[in-house]
Amino acid sequence: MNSKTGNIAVRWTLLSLIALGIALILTGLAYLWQNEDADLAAQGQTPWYVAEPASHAPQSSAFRPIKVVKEFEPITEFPTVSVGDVGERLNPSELVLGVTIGKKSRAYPINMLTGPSREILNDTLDGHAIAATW
Amino acid sequence: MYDKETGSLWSHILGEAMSGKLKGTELKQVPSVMTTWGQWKESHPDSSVAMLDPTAKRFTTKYFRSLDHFVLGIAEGSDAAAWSLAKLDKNPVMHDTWQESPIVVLYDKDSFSPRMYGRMLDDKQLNFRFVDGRLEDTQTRSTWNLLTGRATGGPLKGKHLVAMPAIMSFKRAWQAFHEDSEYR
Repeated sequence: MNSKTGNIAVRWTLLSLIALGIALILTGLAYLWQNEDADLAAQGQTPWYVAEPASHAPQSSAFRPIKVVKEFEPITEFPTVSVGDVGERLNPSELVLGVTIGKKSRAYPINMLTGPSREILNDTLDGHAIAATW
Repeated sequence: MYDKETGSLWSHILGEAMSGKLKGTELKQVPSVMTTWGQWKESHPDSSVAMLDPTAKRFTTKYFRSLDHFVLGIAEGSDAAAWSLAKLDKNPVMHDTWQESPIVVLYDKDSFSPRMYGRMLDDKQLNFRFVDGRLEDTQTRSTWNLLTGRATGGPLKGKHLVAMPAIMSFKRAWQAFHEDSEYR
C-alpha cells in the first residue's frame, strides 16, 4: 500500500466515525424529545412543536412556559346540547369537567378540550363570563 | 394562556396574570368537578353539554392508572393544601379544615371524582360517612349527593353544601406551582 492510498483510507475512516458520532447524537436528541412529548402527553397535553414566540411572549424570569405555541383565535362560540340529546356521542367512562353556577350546570368533555387550539373555551353560564381550561 | 385584550400571560393553574399589563391580577376560580360522563349525566340530568368535534379519545377512567400521581388541591394567597387521590381511595371521606373553616373532602371511587365542601350548614357543623354506599351526615342522617352537594333525602333534603374551588391536578404540577403546599 503506498502512502497516498493509506491517507485516503485514514480520511474515510475518520469521516465514517464523525458521521457515526453525529448519527448517535441525533438519535439521542430524538429520544429525549420523544420522552418530553410523552411526558406532556401524560399530563394531558397534546405534544406540540415550538412556534416563534409572540411579540408579547413572557418576559418574567419566574414564570417560563415550557413551550410557547402559536396564537389561536379565542373560542367564544361553540354548540351546546342538553343531556338528553347527547346520545352516543359520549361514552359513560369519558371524563368531563363540570361546573354549576346558580341553577345552571354545564359539562365540558375533556376529549373535546384537548390540544393547543382547544384548551380554553370562553363561555357564559347563568350570566357569568367564565373560561373552561384544561 | 393569553387574554386577547391586553396580551397578558396567565397561568391557568394559578389563575393569575404572570406578566404583561395585568400582571398580579387574579381570576376568581369557579368550583368545578372532574368526573365521568356517566356520573355527570346521572347527577345533573338538566345540564347542558359543550359539544365540539373530539380532538382526543384517551381521557377516560383508564387515565387514572396511578392514583398517587393525582391530587385535589386548593389554594388562596400563600396557602395551599392538597389531598392525594390514592389516600382518598382508601378513605373517601376526610374531615379537615381549610383556612380555619371546617371542610370535607369526598371521593367517588367509581368515577374517580374528588369534591370539597364546606361542612357548616346554618351554623351547624356536619360530619359525613358512607353507609351502604350512601353518603349521609351523622347529625341528621340525611342522604347527600356527592357530586352536587345537595341533600336528596332526610331532614335536610333540598339543602346545599358550599362547594370549594378545589381542582384535580397532577401532583407534580401542583408541587411546581405551589412549592409550600401542605399534603394531607
